[in-house]
Amino acid sequence: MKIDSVVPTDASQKESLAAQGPAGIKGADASCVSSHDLRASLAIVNGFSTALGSSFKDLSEQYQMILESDDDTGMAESADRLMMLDADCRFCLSRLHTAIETLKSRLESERVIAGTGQAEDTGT
Amino acid sequence: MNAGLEAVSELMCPNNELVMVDDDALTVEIVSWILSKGQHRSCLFTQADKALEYLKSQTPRLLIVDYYMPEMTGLEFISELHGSTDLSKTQVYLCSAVRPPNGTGELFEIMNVALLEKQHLCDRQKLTEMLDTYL
Repeated sequence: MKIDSVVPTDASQKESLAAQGPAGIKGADASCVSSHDLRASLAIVNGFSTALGSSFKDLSEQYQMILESDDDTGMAESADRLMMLDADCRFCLSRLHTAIETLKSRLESERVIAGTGQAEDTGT
Repeated sequence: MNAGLEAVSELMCPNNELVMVDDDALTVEIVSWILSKGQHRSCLFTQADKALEYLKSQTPRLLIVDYYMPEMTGLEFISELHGSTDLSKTQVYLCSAVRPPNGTGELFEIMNVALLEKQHLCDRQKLTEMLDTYL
């Protein structure tokens, strides 16, 4: 993915980019940022949800393994891993909750903005 | 984890292999959690200015910058960095949940950056694959 041939090498090109690029982008940001925030929230919810799913699967497997084990060798290690996976699940669940709250709040603001826009459109 | 920290997560610094900048604390938290499952050295920031300061003296192998940040856009960040740091050996990604505005594609090429979808960054499997590829 790297395009080495187009790395800005001379100072004037870099300065020109620094001046030209961001200035041209700033103006278009407002609607993009709102859409970005919503989609970012969805990505985060999805990320924590997937992480919770895989952590819980690992936790269940580890728990099952301990239950089915006949000897006590390595039990302390298994218990440590169980606790670690339990902590992972709790972490992911807690952040998933926060991420959903953030998403809800962003959706609410979006609805308020959309409602305001609609009211302006209809002259109310 | 305290999102107000300058460097939210700093594992085994210096000589980071991954530096990430994202103003969204939850994004940083999930990436930090994914990183904690592997062995890669990393440094994660929620404040662009602190990251810029840090990158003056550190050159990571992989740099991931959020496109939409309140202080500056990811492109502004990379522009500023190009003025003070040699990024020729760094794989740079601008991360966004939406396609950046029209006209930025050319700038991406000129500035030697690739686009990374936010959902890939937040996905444990995809991010791990990416880290294994570049680090």
